Amino acid sequence: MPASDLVLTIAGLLIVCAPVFLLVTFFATFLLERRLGEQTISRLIQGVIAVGLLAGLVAAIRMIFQGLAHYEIELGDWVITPRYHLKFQFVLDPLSLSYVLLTLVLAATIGAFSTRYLHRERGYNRFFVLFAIFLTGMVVAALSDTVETLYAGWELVGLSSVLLIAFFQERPAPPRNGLRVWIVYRVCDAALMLAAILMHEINGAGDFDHLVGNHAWPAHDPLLIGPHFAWLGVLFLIAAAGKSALVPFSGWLPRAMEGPTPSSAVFYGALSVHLGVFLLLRVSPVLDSSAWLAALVVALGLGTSAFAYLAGRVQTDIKSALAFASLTQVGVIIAEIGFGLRYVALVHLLGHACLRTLQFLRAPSLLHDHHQLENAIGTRPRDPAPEWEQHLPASVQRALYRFSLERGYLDSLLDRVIARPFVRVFGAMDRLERSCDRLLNGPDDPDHPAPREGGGRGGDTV
Amino acid sequence: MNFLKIPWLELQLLLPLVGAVVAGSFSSAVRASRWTLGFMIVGMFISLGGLAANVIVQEPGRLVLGQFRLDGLVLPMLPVLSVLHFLSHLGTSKSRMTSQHCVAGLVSMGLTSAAVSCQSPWLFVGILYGMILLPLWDLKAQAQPIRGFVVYMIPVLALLALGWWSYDPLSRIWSMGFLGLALTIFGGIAPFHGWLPGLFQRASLGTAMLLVLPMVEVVGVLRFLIPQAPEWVLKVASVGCLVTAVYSAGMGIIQSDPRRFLAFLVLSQTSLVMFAVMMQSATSITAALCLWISVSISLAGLGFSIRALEDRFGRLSLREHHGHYDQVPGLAIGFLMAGLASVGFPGTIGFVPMELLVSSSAQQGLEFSIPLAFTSVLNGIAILRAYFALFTGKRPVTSVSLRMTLSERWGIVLIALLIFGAGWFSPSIVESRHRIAEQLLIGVGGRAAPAAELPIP
Amino acid sequence: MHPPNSNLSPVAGPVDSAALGQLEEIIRQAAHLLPAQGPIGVFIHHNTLHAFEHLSFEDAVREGARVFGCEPYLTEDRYREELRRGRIRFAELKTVLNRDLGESSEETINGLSTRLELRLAMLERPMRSGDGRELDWFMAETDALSKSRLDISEVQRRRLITETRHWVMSRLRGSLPGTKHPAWLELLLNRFREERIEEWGEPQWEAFTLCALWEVCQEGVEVSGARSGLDTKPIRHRDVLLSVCGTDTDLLVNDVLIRFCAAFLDQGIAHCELPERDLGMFAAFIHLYERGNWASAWWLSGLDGVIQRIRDQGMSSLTSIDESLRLLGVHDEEREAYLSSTLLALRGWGGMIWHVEQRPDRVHHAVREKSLMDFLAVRLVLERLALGAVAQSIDGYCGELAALRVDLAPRLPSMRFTSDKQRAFLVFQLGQVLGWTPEQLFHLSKPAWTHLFDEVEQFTELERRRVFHLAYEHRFRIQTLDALSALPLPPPVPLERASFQAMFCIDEREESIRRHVEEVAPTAETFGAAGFFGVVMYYRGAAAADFVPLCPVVVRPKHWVSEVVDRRLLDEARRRRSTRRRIGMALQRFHGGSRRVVSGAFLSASIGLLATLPLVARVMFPRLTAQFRGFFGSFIAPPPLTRLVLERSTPAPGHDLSQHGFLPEEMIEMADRLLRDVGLTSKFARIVFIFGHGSTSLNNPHESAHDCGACGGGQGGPNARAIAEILNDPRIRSALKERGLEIPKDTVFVGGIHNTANDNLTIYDVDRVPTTHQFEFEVAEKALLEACQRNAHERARRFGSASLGLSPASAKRHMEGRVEDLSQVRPEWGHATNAICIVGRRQRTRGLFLDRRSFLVSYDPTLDDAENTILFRILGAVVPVCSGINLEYYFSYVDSPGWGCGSKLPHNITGLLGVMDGALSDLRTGLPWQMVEIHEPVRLLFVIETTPATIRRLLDKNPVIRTMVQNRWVQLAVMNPDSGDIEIYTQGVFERHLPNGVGLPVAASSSEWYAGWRDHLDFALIRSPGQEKNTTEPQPE
Repeated sequence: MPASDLVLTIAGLLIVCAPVFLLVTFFATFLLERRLGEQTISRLIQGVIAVGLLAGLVAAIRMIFQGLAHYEIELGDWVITPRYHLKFQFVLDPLSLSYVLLTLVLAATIGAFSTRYLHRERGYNRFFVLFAIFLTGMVVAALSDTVETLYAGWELVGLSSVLLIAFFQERPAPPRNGLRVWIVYRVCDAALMLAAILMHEINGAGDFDHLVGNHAWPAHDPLLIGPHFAWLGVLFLIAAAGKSALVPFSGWLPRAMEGPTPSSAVFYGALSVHLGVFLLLRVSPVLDSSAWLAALVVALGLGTSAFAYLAGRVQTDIKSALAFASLTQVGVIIAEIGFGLRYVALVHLLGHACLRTLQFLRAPSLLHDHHQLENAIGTRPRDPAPEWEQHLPASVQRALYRFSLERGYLDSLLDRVIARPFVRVFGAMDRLERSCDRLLNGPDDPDHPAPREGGGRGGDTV
Repeated sequence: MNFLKIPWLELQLLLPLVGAVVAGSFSSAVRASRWTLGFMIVGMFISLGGLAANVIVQEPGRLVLGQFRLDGLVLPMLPVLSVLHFLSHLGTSKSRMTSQHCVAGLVSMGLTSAAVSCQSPWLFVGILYGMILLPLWDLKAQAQPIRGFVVYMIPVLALLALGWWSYDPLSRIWSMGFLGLALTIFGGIAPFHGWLPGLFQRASLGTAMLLVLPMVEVVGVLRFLIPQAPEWVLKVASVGCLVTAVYSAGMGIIQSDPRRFLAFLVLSQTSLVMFAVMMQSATSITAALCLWISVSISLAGLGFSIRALEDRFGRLSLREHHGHYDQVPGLAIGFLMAGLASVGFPGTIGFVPMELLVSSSAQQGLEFSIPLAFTSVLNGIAILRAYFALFTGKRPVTSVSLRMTLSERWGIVLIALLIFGAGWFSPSIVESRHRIAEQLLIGVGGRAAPAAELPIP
Repeated sequence: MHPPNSNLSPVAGPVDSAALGQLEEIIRQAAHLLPAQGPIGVFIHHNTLHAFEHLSFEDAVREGARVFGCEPYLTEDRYREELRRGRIRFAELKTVLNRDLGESSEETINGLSTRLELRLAMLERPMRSGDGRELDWFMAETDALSKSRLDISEVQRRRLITETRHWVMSRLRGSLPGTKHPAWLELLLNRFREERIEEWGEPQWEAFTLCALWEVCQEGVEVSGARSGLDTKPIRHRDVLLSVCGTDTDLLVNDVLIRFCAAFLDQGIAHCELPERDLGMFAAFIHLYERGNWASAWWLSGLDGVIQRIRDQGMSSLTSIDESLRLLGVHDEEREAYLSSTLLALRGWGGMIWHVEQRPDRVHHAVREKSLMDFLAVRLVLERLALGAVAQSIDGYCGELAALRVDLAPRLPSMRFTSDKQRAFLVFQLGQVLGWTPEQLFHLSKPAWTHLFDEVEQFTELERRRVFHLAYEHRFRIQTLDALSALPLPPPVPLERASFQAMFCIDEREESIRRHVEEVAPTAETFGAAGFFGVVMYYRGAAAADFVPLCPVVVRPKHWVSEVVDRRLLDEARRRRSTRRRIGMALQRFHGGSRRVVSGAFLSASIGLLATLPLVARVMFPRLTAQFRGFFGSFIAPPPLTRLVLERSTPAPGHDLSQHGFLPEEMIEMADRLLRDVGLTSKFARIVFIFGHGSTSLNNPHESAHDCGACGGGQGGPNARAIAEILNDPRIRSALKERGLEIPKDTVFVGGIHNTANDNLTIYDVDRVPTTHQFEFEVAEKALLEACQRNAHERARRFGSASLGLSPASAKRHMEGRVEDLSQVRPEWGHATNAICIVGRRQRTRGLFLDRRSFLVSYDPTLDDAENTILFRILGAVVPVCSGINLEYYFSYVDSPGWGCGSKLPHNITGLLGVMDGALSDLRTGLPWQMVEIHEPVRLLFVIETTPATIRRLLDKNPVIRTMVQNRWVQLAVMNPDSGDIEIYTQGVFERHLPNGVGLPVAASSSEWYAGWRDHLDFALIRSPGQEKNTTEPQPE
């Protein structure tokens, strides 16, 4: 292996291993029943991110100077059977490096922010364990070169996001909302899983290389595009839609704001919500396979953007307003991808993530900022609705307002169409089974009572 | 004696029986329990020793007592079974511990080890009889109605006996049909699954888990059914398994009793294993064998956490949020780890088997993969829902300390190590399982494995 | 999905207007329970349990805890922790308990222990509990039955074992005829293997003893007979449904209602306003939801029908409430309870609506009258729908809503009452602690057991916490009063003129800076006056857009004052203003634009990446970034030369610039009052500083709670500046002279502001200090800046993130960085640790290290008239304000998520009005945990330099203070102006406080005393070695 490759390999591995090391440390302390102090944790986090960031920069510089646009780090096959092989392989290219650098810069900032923000909080350790899982997932997903690796990172990000949403677990709302987000995530995970299988079926392996041939991202070899690609694209799109809260999954986004401010900033503002976008960028060759697929992507993006803009205008709390603002841009970025503007989308993504993180971190200072702005302008700062709206008939305005206030009815529709029928059907089956059981065994013993009977559960469960 | 020449399997089979006699001789539950623990630990080491010896020698073991063989199929299963029993014993609280419990545990350990290593269908039938009796004994001891269990098990016993009786070396169709049906009921494949949630609700959780988690029916199917049953039967059965998996995954989500939740989760996962077996391709059987290991261990971990919770707080409901995280954070973490491992979360023992399974199903067609993915979605949701219900919520005001006891702590550590540690060995496990799967398929009577399934030299 | 019962069944009977009036009155009553917190931008501290002030403190917290479901005191474990570390003394606990029990303390219970012993034991040792199942586990799995509790003495343990052993060996196993044998004995002996009883070692006997004790206790419970718990009937339908089927209808209702309330009240976050907002909440709701929508929430299906009916019948919100109550089957007599508990289900939002309705002047978007009624009407309509929909999903239920509670009552799980296990476990623990042997207990008769249990259970957890709390406060009171008595009497009034004088707010945060000023400049004097300094005004700064009221919240100002830029710099000012305006507009467009589609895309794609710079800089280097911003900010700030428009010539004050200011007579009145209040009527120094205070911080929605309470949550600088200018006015001075208050010609008043967060001191109108005073001014300024650094240093000891080894200068830098740090949730501690309020001459407390815990009000009893006019007017303002602050901190600390607003971390600013947890929760009122974390929850102790007789007169005259004092919401003591003797007011009588006579520890400086210590500190006398030692040294111990 030439020396240059060695440097890149080591750098790439360092980026991945640094957060994994964090996780291992946390796991070991759990097994040994030791508790790390705040200081230790904060140093660990900062050290690890610094190492990763440094490695990322070295890799980026090296690649620029060598004019490399694509470099693979093979860890060898993990599992091989004749019909199946599972490979862990990472790739360094403009997309993965810029996304991983974004992740690390934001994680460094948020890490430093959180060590002070969560000072003396009871769940300090828990927060940083979840943070480490999140970071690991993010880095793995960003650098992955096979769909399985991406899936692994993807799931880690999902789990840590959900547990962070439920971070304040003593109140009932955070776990409830966390569960809701988890359901959406699982659905999109399933889509990704199926996409992975389909890729295996098409290519015999889950490597992204097989999609792009020997070209560096975002170029690709049109000859490699196969007949099933449209379906593959749809599956990827579903996965991305779930993760990035596109229509019709957008309902979870405001619910995800139960966690502490830094995690809100990281997720809805910056990283997590862009992961779906990243996925689409990564598999963009698939999107090029058919025009109607690209059209679907554009439609989804613009639809989401329009919805998020409408809903965002009526939000009365700063975090929801920012979350919808974030979503507005995510929709636009998705549309850009659909139009084939890959680099534009990437730059847009990076800029948007940074900008929104800053805005989220300043959310608690809103009153302060508002006051200053008011003094500077001399009147109350106010962003009126655009002109064209005022010409609409009152009833339309009202309907539009209600549509926005109820967040496009997305949640209630999911409740009506999926959750409640699901609960009703399985609830009926459950009652049937129980009555069969009672028929056979006789009524329950008072010493070992079966849990209380109850009718259908509200839509709040699922 | 040479390490390699130690009669591992004999020891493995006899030790629990000796242990059962010893434990039964104590009237004091404390001492019986201590001895049982000792026997189980020794049993674990023996099974590991057998595994090591066999890996070194690289040849199928001798036929023991004319009927048992330590072959590649059972090799990794014996340590898993020992761990299952060990965990089950460790998780039984002192207040529930009786010497009867100890005896039952050891007997079950002996029986399951015998069942998986048994080479003769008829001995297998006999062992199943024994295994079915154990929960009955437990139900009786708990003064619970046994009718529901018996109603389902009588057909199992009858069908097993019928299969035995109708056995004819030339035309095995009938006997295989009876045997298959018996195993289907025993494996809880819908619509014959009614006994399982009932058993989980009424019997002690340990007993129920020990009956279901070893999944001896998988051995039965692999050893005795697959080689002989017609393909369409297996096809139908595999569809049945898949339906069961999806159905019980859905049921798991809406349950309000943690035991029923666990029962449906177990059911869903075990039927996934059965499904993989029934697909009878090399990859799918590899997946089944790997999944068998990962599912047993992770669900045992989940059961362990639920039992520890129940011991403390009595029957809980998943309708409310109980907020036990602060009292027993270790159990919460254990619950989450084990639960996620059982649905194949990355980094855990379950990840590779699940990937393998889904991938192998795709070879049969996407119509199989989609329900599979759906099952995994639903089970994942059910687990997090249960986690949130049990561990999050307003902190209870109890002031006595309910921290984990030493044995619980060890249990959780063991589970954690297995769940994450075994993930690292996945490649070698998969590799060895794949070899076994191919051997199994080669052995399929009169029907060669499809060419594509054969290993490439 | 249509609930058949909720919308169609006709309401019987015509609506009777008298009944409606009554209903309105009920709602008005219920509204008093709602939190009284207003918009968060102007935070006013108030007693959280204001609605219960007519009750005594103890009754009120119990009642409040019941109504709101919160904790009345700290947890028992917390108090016990305080007992262990000496913050509560055991002897004092005993005293308090003895006093509490009165004569019955010496009664013995079945000859086992006296009541006092029993209760003391229950206080001292933790009495653990859990529900039956948990106890089973605990007994089986832990060593509870094999090892005695660790907290009993070795002697006790051995005695218990020996006596049991004796009992077993000689009585039970021996052949004494007629001995009663316990039933469990056989089993137990069997388990322990009786055959080897001779060889049992100590561990076996210990285990046997404990098992025997446990068995006896369990038997005792059986003997005494079961006790039934109190079954309380749930009042709301929602409670019934929640316990029957586990679905919380409040979740459904709140989901819709919170969003709607927020939209209705929003003060400017949303870009798009609620349509028909001005018609009122009920009308807007009806307009918005009149159309049915198949996509809206499943349980809202019948809403259009309900609204149609409301429209058709032209119902007002009140009639709609009446209708809802009838449909829900709420009888007339339970209406009050029903409505108040319904209101409390979303108390934060309800309270805000009520508040905005009452004080429309404090918000931009006022709401109509009777908005609370609208709120309730909407809530009840939604509740009807939710209840109907959920009730339907219970299998086999299809009754009317009105009958729901009755129908489902049989399905309610019975309330869990104290299980037998719990009672046995309690006595089991007490037996070990108090040395009750199994034998003693075994011989108890049935009535004796019942008596024992009654006795033990009467001393409930709540009672124990109450006693603990009394002892907790007792300790602190004794310490304070001892310290005050140990202080040397003030030296005879110093003859020479002070080098300078400085007047600060009475705020307890200013205690430390006053002390430091006095330490740095021993010849200086300080005073404490309420921080608005008597100037009541609406004020607008040169760079501000709007007027803010700067005065206590109970007063509505009648005057407007504004700051204008010096005429010479008008052009510059105009230019700068337009620059500011342009930058502001650009920023606003940027923020707004980033939320839109196209402009957002353009902005984030083009300059988004640049946001990394401020992002990283502000998080990593907050202070540097702030300095950088400050540097550039200074170019566009208004020019430094400004004037107040203080005097008006028009007769009537008004909003117009020509009407700004006060008339000279009004100014004279203010000046006269301030100087007499603080007792500064003679011996004026050449320079007198007057400092208001305020606080700035980032990442702090509760920023204004750190500002001056006396300025109604504003910054008191302009008030100080105004009064200084007034006092410098020769016309005012001559008028004052006529009133007998002569200010020397060479005295100059200088106003300023102290920033309590970063300890900056800003002095106004420096250019107006005459050159004759320049030198002294510079010396004094230097001393003040030094004091600020020291003050920052003293504050830094409380912050874990500031190392204890900081120098004063670096401590100051730390504070400056802290305030600018986006991630800092504790910019300053605010009023935390406030506990005392001393009203009297500073000479009486000068040199005492009060650890920033005391409000210091300057008052000179020797200058007061015979009617004590001055004292009465001081106390009339000080008692409600200070006790409001103190009690708000008490409650927010005692139960942070309950009374306070919990942790700051998930807070989310809503409608510029308040904070929610996450995106959809009730409006959180009270103080966040990060603000009160180091507080000690004790009731404020007033020490007033006056006589008991004066206080008696005061209590007769002022009903507000009488309520606070007699109902024990504050503690009160008086200090004799002449002798310094202290008397404590308890239950209507004054008791002499007998000092311990030990004296105070002495330290050379404050920093010497607090060095190396983060926790609360004891009182100490700060006396530099140079100071003359004319007073008695503390006696060596």
